Formats: sequence, structure tokens, C-alpha cells
Amino acid sequence: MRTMEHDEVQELLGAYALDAVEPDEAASIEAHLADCPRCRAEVAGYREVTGMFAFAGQEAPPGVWARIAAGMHEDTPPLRLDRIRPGMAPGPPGSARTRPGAPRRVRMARQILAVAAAIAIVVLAVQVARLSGRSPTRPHGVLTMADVQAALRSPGSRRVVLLAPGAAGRGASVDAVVEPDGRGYIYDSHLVPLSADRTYQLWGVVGGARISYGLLGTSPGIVAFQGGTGLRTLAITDEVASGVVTSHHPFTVAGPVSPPL
Amino acid sequence: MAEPDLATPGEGDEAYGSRPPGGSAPESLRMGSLPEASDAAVVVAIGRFREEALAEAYRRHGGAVFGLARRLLTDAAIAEEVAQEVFLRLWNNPERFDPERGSLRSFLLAQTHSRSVDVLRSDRARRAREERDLRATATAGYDLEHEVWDLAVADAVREAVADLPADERQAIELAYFGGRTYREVADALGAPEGTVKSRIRAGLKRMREALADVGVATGGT
Repeated sequence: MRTMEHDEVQELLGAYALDAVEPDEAASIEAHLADCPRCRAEVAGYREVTGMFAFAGQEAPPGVWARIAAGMHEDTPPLRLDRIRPGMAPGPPGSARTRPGAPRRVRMARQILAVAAAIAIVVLAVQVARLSGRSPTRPHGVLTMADVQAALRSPGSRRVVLLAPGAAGRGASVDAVVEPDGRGYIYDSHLVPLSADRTYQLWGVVGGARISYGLLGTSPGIVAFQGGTGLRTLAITDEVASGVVTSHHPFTVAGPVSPPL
Repeated sequence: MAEPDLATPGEGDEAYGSRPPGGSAPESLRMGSLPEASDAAVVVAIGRFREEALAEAYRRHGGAVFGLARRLLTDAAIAEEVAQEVFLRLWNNPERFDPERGSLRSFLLAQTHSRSVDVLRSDRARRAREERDLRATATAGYDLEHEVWDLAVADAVREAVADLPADERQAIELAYFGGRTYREVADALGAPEGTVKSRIRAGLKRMREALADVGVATGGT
């Protein structure tokens, strides 16, 4: 790698910002950039400009998110693109099915993920069985993890994790799932059981306003609720046993619905 | 301009928790609405393994990332691989993003572009094909302004592009959207390498200044 003088590097900064230089030139430029804030700033400015060229109006394809989500739970390193041959039959954008010829690591990872999910569901079922001795507030029907699992599997459903402000380590958490039509369940609740004169109450935050989604009792099990368009946040507060119309209590736990309904 | 971040309660939530004394920094994450948080706060949340924060980053920028990869690579399946890799890199190394240096959008798109160009260049057959087609397109002048979609800045950017001298615009288009080196652009145009280098740089400078004039951020947040 040849050392480049500042002037020579400067002439190349535009092309460099467009990835339009040879690899050995890029190496020389990067060596210079390590020590030159002015040139770094110039490149950063050009990259902001190119950032505006590109396709900001498009929706993020959901099929790709499914693969990112799968990737988040694996320890495998990112896919090596040089092993993927251009010209392989592509699926439509957003397709989540396994491509023929997908690298073996990806297929194995998907199987591992499926097994892990199955184990997780069994664990959840055991935990919920313990909770279901308490009274859920739904008067009709008994909700089970089968209902929750069906919701988790349904396309477009969002998983919501409600945590206490100040987050991890406090212990209080609640899991929820919301389907695109607003129907949802809270299911794995780790909340301090309340005394008989109190209740937990579920809220949806829609456009800054809190809407009550019902009472959860002193120690919630699986509870169904119905949310609506614009739901951005699910939250739970601690209230008197009769519940309240509006709450001014801080959230015991809360979590974002992402993307919002 | 004050940005809402995860530490600030939303409107109507006056009773929601209490603010820490001395104001709130993105690090003091509390429950709030992710969609209203700044990109910097979202990345901090990613650093704390909050999966929904990565989902929010994907919601905001996934379209642009995939769109750019798709435009460069034409093969949707490979474009998906690139998009997946860019976001997994963000998940695994959120500390690489420095909000002082630029926007999250340009950070992600720079990686997308670089990765896509790697793929393009590793396929020599495709490149040879492109060189043959290049003569036909080089003089036609690809229309850069039709690539601009961001409604918030679209008018300013379109105007800045329209004001570019044709040779500067052409050099940028051929390099950026064609995944070509400046030497390959020079070859295709039959112009000296030095000329192409300076056209690219001059065009980018001109756009950066035009956008700064109308208040569009082009350097850091």
C-alpha cells in the first residue's frame, strides 16, 4: 500500500465516498483518513448527500425482517455474499420461504430456531399453568397458550415486551402480542401480586392518550384485549380494585408496539 | 431543534414517571414510544439488546437500504441478503454508529452501497455485460432526480441535482448507481481519469453546499 499525500487523497475523496476507487487506493485513503479530520469530515458530508439520493419512500420489505429477526438469535456470523451465486432463482421481495440453494448454515439455523421456539413455548406453557390458578378477568372462556401461540404465528403480529422504567434487572416484565387487527394477549406476566383492594389495569397509548383495555386482576394470567389503529404503546398501572377511567399513575411496566397499528 | 427521545414522556402523559434532574440524555432510556425517539436513542436501545429497537431502525431505513441494494444489484434475492447483513451488523456492532459523524440513514446506506459494489465487482461476467451496454447509456444521461424519494427533502435535493452541470451529474450517476470505479467511468466516457475524479468531487461539493443553503443537514446530525 502506497502512502498518499494529502492533496492526492483530497482529489479522490469524492470518488471514495461513492465507493468508486480501486481497493489499493481505498486502503491508502483510509490510512490518511485515520489521521485527517478534515478529510473525514469531507467524506462524511458527501455520504450525507448520497444518502438523500436513495429510495427513502419505500416500505421496508417484511420478509427481510423475518430473516433479520432469525439472525438476531443466532451466533453465526453474517452471510458471506461471495458464496451466493448471482442468477439463482429469486423469490419475490418479502418472501420468507427458504430459497433453493440457500447456504447450509442458513437451513440449519432455521431448524435450530424452530426447535428453540418449540422449547420456549413449552416453558411458557408451564409458567402460565402456574399463573392460571389466579382469576383472569375475562369472564367467558379459558384462554390458553394455544391462543397466544396462534397469535404469535399470525402474519404481521407484533410481540411487545413490557418492562419497568429503568429496565433490566428490576424483574417486572410482561409479554404481549398484538395482531394487526388490534386483537392481543398479555401472557407471561412477572408482576408483584397486588392486595385484594387493588388491580392491575391495561392501557393502550394511542396518539398520546391512554385508553383503558381492561382490568387484569391482582396477578394477571393470559388476558385478551382489543386494541385499535394507532396503538403505539401498551402499559400497565396499579389501581384501586374497581379500576379507573383515567390514570395519573406512572406505568408499572410499558412497552412499544412496533410498528404501531 | 429539541428531539423527543426515549426519556421524554409523550404528549398527554404528564403523569408518566418523573424526569431525572438535569434533563435527560439518550442514555437514560425509559419506557416511551420508540417511533418518536431519535435515531441515536434507537441505536443506544439496540446496544441494550432491545429487539424492538432494531425493528424500529428497520422500519425507518429498511426501505432505503433494500431499495439501494435492489437498484444496484437488480437481483432481489441478493439485495435481501445485503439488507439482512447491514441490519445484522447494526445489531451486532451498534457502537460503530457515531451520531456526531452523520445520520443513521447515511451510515446504513454507505454500508449498503459498499457491500453491493463488492457483489457487483465480484461478478465479472455481469461487469463485462455492463461495459458493452455502457456506451448506449452513457450519453443518454441517466435521470438522477427520479431516484429521490424522501418527501421531506425531495424538492431541495431535486433542485440541487437539476442545477448540477450535466457532466458532473453524469459522472456521479455512473459511479454511484453503476458501481463503477472512476477509472471505469473515465474509460466509458473516453475522458481523462483526473477529469472524472474532479467532476465527481465538484458535483458532490456543489450539492452539499446547495443543500446546506436551504438548511438540509449534510454533515452530522
